[in-house]
Amino acid sequence: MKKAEQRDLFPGALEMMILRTLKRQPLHGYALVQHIKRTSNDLLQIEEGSLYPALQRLLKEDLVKADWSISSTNRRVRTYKLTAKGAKHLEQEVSRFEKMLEGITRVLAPGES
Amino acid sequence: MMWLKQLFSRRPLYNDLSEEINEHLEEKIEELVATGMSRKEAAAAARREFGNVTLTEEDSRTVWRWPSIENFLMDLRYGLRMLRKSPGFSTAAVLTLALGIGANTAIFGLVDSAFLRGLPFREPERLVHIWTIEADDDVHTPTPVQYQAVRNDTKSFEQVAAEGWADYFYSADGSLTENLPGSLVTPNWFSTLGVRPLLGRNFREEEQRAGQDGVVILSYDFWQTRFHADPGTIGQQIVLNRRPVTVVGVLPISSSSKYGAKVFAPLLLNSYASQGNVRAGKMRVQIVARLKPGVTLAQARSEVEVIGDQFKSASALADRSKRLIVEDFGEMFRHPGPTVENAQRGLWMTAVASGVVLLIACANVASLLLARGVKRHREVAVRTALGSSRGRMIRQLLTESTLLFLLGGAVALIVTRWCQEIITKVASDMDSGAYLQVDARVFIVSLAVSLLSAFGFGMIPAWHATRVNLNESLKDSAPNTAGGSRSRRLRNSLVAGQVALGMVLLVGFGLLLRSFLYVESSPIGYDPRNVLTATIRLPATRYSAPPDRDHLMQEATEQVRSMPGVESVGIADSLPMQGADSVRLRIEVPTPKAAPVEQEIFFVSISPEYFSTLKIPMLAGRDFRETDSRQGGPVAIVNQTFAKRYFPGTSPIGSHIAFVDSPATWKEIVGVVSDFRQRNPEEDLRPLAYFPVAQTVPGRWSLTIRVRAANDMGNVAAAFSKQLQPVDPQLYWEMGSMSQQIHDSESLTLRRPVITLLASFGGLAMVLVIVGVFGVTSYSVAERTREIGIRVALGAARQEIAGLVFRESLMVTFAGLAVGTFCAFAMTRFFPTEGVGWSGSGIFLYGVSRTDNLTYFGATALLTSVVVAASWAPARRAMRVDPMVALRHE
Repeated sequence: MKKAEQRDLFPGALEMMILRTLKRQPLHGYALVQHIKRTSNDLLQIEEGSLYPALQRLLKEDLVKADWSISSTNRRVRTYKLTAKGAKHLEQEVSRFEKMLEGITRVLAPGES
Repeated sequence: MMWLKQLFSRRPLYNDLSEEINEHLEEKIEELVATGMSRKEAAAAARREFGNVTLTEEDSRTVWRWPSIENFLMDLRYGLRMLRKSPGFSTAAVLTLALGIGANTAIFGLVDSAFLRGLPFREPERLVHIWTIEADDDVHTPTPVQYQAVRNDTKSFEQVAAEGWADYFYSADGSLTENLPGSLVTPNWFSTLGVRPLLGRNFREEEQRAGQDGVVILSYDFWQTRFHADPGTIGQQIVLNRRPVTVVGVLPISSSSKYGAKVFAPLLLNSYASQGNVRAGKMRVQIVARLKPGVTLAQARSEVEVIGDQFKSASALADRSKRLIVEDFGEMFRHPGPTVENAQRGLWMTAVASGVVLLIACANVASLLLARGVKRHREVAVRTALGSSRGRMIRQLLTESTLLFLLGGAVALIVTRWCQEIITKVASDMDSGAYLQVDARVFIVSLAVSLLSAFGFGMIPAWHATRVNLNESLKDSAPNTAGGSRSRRLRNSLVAGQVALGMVLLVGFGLLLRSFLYVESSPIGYDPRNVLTATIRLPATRYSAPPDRDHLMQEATEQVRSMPGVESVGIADSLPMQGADSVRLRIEVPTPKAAPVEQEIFFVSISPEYFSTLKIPMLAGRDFRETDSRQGGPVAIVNQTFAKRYFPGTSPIGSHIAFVDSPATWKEIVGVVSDFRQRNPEEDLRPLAYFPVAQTVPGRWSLTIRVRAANDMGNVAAAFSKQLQPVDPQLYWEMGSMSQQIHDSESLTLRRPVITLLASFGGLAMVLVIVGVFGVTSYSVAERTREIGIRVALGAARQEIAGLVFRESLMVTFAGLAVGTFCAFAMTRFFPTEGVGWSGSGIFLYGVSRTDNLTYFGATALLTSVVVAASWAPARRAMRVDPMVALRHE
């Protein structure tokens, strides 16, 4: 559990990205990894070792729900979907993240005092 | 309720998870195959990229549970399974620990009851004692009249209670009677102290009236020893002082142990003189009072002081007092006398010894665990390879060893509970306040000891077992070599440590045992064999006139003398080993011009035949004669030490001594008697004076009767008791023997329990060392089977192989002995070399030096032979190794 967090960017970052991705469309684990990798232009490599514990955490918190279905490639997959609670949580997290980012940017910005 | 649902529906969750991860891998593989890889390559690549599947699954599952608790439960289950799988190892380890922990639990119980625990009374800070200061400026216990005044005329106290002292004589079967110290208490005494009986009830108010007082409450130990702890004792009639009384209660052990009395009976204030014992010439009672809430000690003091004023000129001389004082109740228990100080010494010694036993036991288990750790190297390596962290592994191994220690602690508690009575009995000789009862405190301490030693000694093997080199350990051909030599070194140092600790324990025990034997056999200066004693205490209400006492002595002597087999009969007011009273004496020194010396001197009143009965030779002058009676001139005999100290170079015969408080009566010294021990077998000789018993007529004295040797001295004593009965049917004769006196002397009584406890600890330690050496040597032989096989195949003789085994264990032993000798030597610096207080008795080195060769040599020899004996079986096994079988293992 601890290890999973250490591999994370910062606490909650992975969860936030998962939720954001799922907001656009329901996806299964493998597709999630691929999607995040692609959209980040290969900058972010999600490890499966972190992904599955994170998904279980989200499931437990009721932020996502999972259903078995058949994928486009005709494969039995477990698709994760954002719940209402998850959407709300994502909003909060994103705004918190933006504030934090703004703060960090200001501190790091050169020349201003 | 969500968590509850989760708890029961985890299985499908986990199944989903596994399937999902599987599908994930499949999808990845397919994608890779699509890029042109072979299926096999793709599978490997996918797995590599995915990482540790099991770990990921495990981590994901962790989300759904309370990881620390569940891991712990899992470890626990696993641990229990491991223990069940090797019952031999588990039993050995648990028993070993039970011995070590049990010894410590027991000693803690004793130390706790004797010194650590608070007073066993309700709110003891509100309790006070009231004393009187008399004309001699000494603090005394007050008189019954003073008690009544305090009780009736004060407002500071919730309750005021009194306790008097009485002798009880109890006979279970009507033959020889047993003398029991008794307390006479006002009915409110127990409620004032806040003591509730363990069984039955307290005294009732009406039971302090004559005729209704036929009730007693028994002390815990008396109930245990004489009534076998039978709850049916309540309501039973027993005969005390020839009077049937009903047992109405039994006191709990905690409050029984604070009071020496075995029997508690109602105090009848107006007939106390016929009931109780005289103390310091008067009937006295101890007053205990409980302050009302909010009343301070100072307030109570001023109130009691006013009451005290009326006794400054009391009409009855007995009740005259300068002042009544109030003192904090705990004061009396805070200033223990030399006896308690001695007991503390003894208990600390045994506490250290029990600690040593525990360390040996722990070292034993640690080396057993180490050996197992090496066997389980593969298991650890496999689990590490599968992604288990070292911390996780250590936690699991620690859980396993903690389980062992806790089981050991549990068995220890059960055994301690079994031995509770016997240990209490042994220790109560040392300190009547020390007892063992397995209660919450003892339980918590044994739990704490178990856990602490589990962490301390479980950590070593756990740390060690988890130091794996994966590459080495997983290779099939080298199952045991990885870490083997390191583990062996560690095991060997644990064995050496055990031997060293054993050495310390044995040397300590040996020195004390030798001292005890020296004390027991030290020349006492008289011949105690075949001398019986009959002791009498005269009641205060009768025999107050000297002629009556004189008459009783004469008649008793005549009665005894008329019995067949009696060689001679003497009388003394204090027997040897009972000590003596002291008095300030004025000694007329030989040089005429010098002023007489005044000195506090011990003295004993004796009859003319006393010295010859005990076969003590006169060195000069004469013995007392029948003519040295009340009518004859006052005479005295002194011992050799007296003569040497006050009359160096001359003879004291013809000189005079006198009591400082009656200086006109000069007593002529008529003889010098050979020295003999009056208080303890090992005491320093002191100056002693002897006076004719006919001239002092004491209220308590003993007949000493030399008889022809008989097989059953008990029968002879019973016959004397019967013969003496008609002299005065109301008196009690306490029968005993001179050898019994020595056995019961203060120093032997103090030393015996320490010796007994140390001997049992020493025995335990030896058993543990045997088990430890046997285990480690056996293991080491098993480990070296291949080596031995090769040696045999190359032509080594069987003896050489045995030598190989013995050499290793002896090397370890000698290292341990060297360290142990050094530590033992350091430890003996803490051994006391002299007694405590004026009585000079105690537990100290007597007749042996700290570096006593025999003790060190004996301990060395014993430990060496123990190690050789323990290595015997493994050595034989090594000799029988069949090279064919050993090498086939390859």
